[in-house]
Amino acid sequence: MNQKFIQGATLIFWGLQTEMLLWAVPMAILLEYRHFWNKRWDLEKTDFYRIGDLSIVGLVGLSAFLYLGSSETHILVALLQLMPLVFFPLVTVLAYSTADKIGLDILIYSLRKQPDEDTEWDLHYLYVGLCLISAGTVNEPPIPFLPGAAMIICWSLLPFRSSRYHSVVWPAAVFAVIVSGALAQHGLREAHLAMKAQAAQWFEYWIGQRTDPYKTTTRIGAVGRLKLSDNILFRVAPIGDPEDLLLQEASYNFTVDADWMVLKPNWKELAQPSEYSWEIYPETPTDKHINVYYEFSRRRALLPLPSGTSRIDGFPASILRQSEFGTVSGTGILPTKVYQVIYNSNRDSNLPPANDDVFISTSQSALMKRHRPDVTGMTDSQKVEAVERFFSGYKYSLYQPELDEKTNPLAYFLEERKAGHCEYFATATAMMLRALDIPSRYVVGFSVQEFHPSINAYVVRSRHAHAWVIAWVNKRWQVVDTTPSIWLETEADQSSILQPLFTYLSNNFFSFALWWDDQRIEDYQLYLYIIAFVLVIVLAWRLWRSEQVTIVADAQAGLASNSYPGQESPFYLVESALQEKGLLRHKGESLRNWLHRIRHNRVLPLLDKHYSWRFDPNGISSRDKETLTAEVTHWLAAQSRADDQKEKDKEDEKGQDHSRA
Amino acid sequence: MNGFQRLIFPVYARVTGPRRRRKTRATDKGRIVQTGIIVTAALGIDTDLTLIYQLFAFLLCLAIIARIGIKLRKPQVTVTRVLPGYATCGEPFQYTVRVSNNGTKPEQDLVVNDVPKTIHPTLEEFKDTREPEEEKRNAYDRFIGFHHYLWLMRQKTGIYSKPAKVPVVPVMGSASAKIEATPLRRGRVSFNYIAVAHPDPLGITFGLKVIDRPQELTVLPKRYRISTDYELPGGRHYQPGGVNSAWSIGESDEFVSLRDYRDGDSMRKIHWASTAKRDKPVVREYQDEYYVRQALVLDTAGGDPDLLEETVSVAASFALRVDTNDSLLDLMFVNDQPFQCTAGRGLAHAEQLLEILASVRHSTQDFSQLSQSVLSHAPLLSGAILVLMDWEEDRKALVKQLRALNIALLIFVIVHELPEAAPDEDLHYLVVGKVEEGLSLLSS
Repeated sequence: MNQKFIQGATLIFWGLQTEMLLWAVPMAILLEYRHFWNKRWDLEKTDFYRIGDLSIVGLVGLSAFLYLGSSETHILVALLQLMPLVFFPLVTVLAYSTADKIGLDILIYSLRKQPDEDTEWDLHYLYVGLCLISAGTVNEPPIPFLPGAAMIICWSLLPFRSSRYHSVVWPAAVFAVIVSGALAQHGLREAHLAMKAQAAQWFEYWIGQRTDPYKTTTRIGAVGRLKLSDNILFRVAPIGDPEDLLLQEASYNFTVDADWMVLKPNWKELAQPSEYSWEIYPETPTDKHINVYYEFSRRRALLPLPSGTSRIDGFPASILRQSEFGTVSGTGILPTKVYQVIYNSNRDSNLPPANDDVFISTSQSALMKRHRPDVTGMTDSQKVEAVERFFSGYKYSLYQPELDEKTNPLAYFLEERKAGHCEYFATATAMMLRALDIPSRYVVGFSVQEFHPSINAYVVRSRHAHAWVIAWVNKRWQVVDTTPSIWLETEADQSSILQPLFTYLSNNFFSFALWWDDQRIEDYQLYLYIIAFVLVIVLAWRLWRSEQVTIVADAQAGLASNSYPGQESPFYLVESALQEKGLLRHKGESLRNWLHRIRHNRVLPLLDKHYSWRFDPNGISSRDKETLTAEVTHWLAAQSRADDQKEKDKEDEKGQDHSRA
Repeated sequence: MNGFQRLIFPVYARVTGPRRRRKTRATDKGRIVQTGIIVTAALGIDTDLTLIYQLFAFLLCLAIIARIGIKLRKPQVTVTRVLPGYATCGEPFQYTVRVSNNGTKPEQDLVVNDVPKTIHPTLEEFKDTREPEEEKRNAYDRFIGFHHYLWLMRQKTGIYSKPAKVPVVPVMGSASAKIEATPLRRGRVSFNYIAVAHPDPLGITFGLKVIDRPQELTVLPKRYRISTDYELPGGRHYQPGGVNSAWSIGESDEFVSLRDYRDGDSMRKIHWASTAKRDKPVVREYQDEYYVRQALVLDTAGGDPDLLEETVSVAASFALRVDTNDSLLDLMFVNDQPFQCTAGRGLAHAEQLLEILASVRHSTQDFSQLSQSVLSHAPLLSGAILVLMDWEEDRKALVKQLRALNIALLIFVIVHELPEAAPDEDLHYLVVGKVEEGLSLLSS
């Protein structure tokens, strides 16, 4: 790239947009200085490979740093913003080398061994593009992005405009590009917003079942073995003594077939006393604390929370809402490594029961009447105990045989198979309690039981997802979990034999990430400067040892050769006028021979005067100069008139042709 | 060849056309703009997150307006291709394309692309061949196989030429563009059309004016240097005739002396002047003379394409090395049937032999056809150069019979790997890819 200042300007633009001007200015100066320095290093391909490797290592290191660091909300955006820094050494070395273009094999290792594909790129323009993309990652930039980027792109295209076209065409084309580009970007933005609105509607409708606060579909009636994953979803670290917990995601009070749903959740937005701190109830001294290490991958999700949650701290989201059923839903969630939950298990998250909490259909009522234990004269607490005793004879099973269409799966569970998974137990328990006039709700969430002392935290896996029941007893909601306690062991038996290994690795990575989060870059600044200094010294030493080549200062050489006597002769106007007509002068052809060849002998007297001006050691008098200027002007005017006449004749001819036609 | 390649094989041919057009139509800056469009489309998809979508919109408009801009001015030119008589396989050469301007404005910034007639390989050819240094390609390329297809297509097409810039073409004048081309195989290669590329006002894309110019070029086989110090077989049997101007070859007659007439002498041999002087019949006595006559025997039976190419190249190298001013050279090989061509002493020239060698294909006959042809011709030969693709019983038998006839032999066997057994004195193994090194050992 011989185009001056384009890279410097782009770097400054990037620096302004990303608030990295302190880096951008020296980088720009270093890159642009090459246009004023006539030494270049004659580098081998292997030298470029080394610098390319350095850039790639830098890129990988930076990616890892950003991935492990918790401060960045979007890794790709942060990485893109820093890309000009990563590739700066490579571009600088290329700028101060004798190489002009270079293959992509310097960056892509696998291409190095392959036969040459004869495709080389001008890395400097690619770098300009990279800087522009990097500058575009800032959403609210100090300088409007599109005008700045458009100016740089058009400037970089300026030397490549074709001389085939009239001089007006290029500016007109650029204007058209700018106008259409501005309209197109506006259109894209509007289209995206419209699409998002539409997609949100679809998403609301088709949203995943488990995280739907309005409805959940159980696997009651499903055939075959239930497959549950060992994936670790999140970790829960108790502050204080470890305590097994049930984390509620959502609760439901109305059932139809295999579905549980909520008809009127009555959402209420949570107060935010300080940034990312959400209050449900005022905190009391007896409240317990847990840290939940859950990185939400979606912007909208339900939070797994213990019953009686009073506050959630350090949870970045735009809105948190809580339903009357204790379900907490987050919108605009940003990825975070950990948030803190403060809770008191003696407090209720659910509001008191309503009519729907005792609703039971006729068929279900009939089924329950056949099986309900005899509770005559019992209090509500005793009824609950009786129900728990009733299910103690049932077994836990992840397998269900195939049934004919007429058989009710719940009836089959209660009467014949007497075995099932948590959803059977929870649904049957809720129905039985309602049949005994005790309000009940179906709850989904996670059972937190797998404690790992090595990380002092509970591990919660996909297979720890659980369903249970809450019953309104003695004017408060009480957990009734009738699923046999061996359910966790039964599901653990299904695990892969490699699971302990994966858990070990995952826990170690988790510990490392926790340690990393505690580190501050300031603590390592000295080491980083030492490494950077050593790298720069090695690089500089290698460059210095490479062979240097002096390039000819084109500009100065050009200036020297361009000044000659007679330079201001008006005859050159005659020459350019003839050339514009397509009567080109061959390379090395004298003006006289050329005029003879193109049969413009009438200009020869002017040429004689021009030659005197140009070559006579004594020069010509100012009067002769004036005469020549006047004659040239006269000739040009005559030519112009002749051209106009020709155009007119042509048009007349066309007109006659039309009239004849 | 894996199952995936078999499945998508028909797609390869469809992809190559658009790929070439895309490459021809974009300038260096155009390539960067195209890449920018793809990258910004991927990165800017979330317009909430970044402003990269604005860059995408701008670049897209730039590309579209550039394409429209091409139509503002199309070149009004005609082109003429001036090819050399021959080219040599693997050796780059230059030729000229003359561009004439028929318009009313000088033509500037034109680029000519000379496009050969593309020959696509068949599935069998794709299956049976292997790209050189294929193992160096990455696993993805090897799995997809597209680079293998491209290589094979280029080999079959036979020539690769680089685009060349055209100097300014004056009105009603012409200018020449020097095109550098590299023939990739021997034989006849066909040119199809010349595409004159003209840039858009922004300089990022080319429009193409396609002008049909079908033409053919003979590509001679690759040749190797053979030291002039090396004495070819049959040289030691040379009998100086010294009659370079004689047109009769082989058993021609040379006047030695006069002698008295003996019964049975032809009347045509009577030297009338001496007969009159001596008053008894005197006849001219002649002596038979021999020229060096060598056979260049080319084995085309069996072997793979690499072996055949090297065999032809070695034969071509010797066809040029043998001095055909004072001797004869019989080129013998079998294609569909035995073929023989004699060069030297006013018959065919070495160039004609090369032209014949350029079109040699694998033989449809077995080696015995060639053996018979050589043996029937053997009495006339003083020496033979055998270039073979194998060293098995049939070939050994031919060599044995020729030795029995006291014909001096120089035998080359082209192989992929050197055998462990030491070769006979007049037998030389030449390894594919290292033939030049093998031939250079001859002089020592």
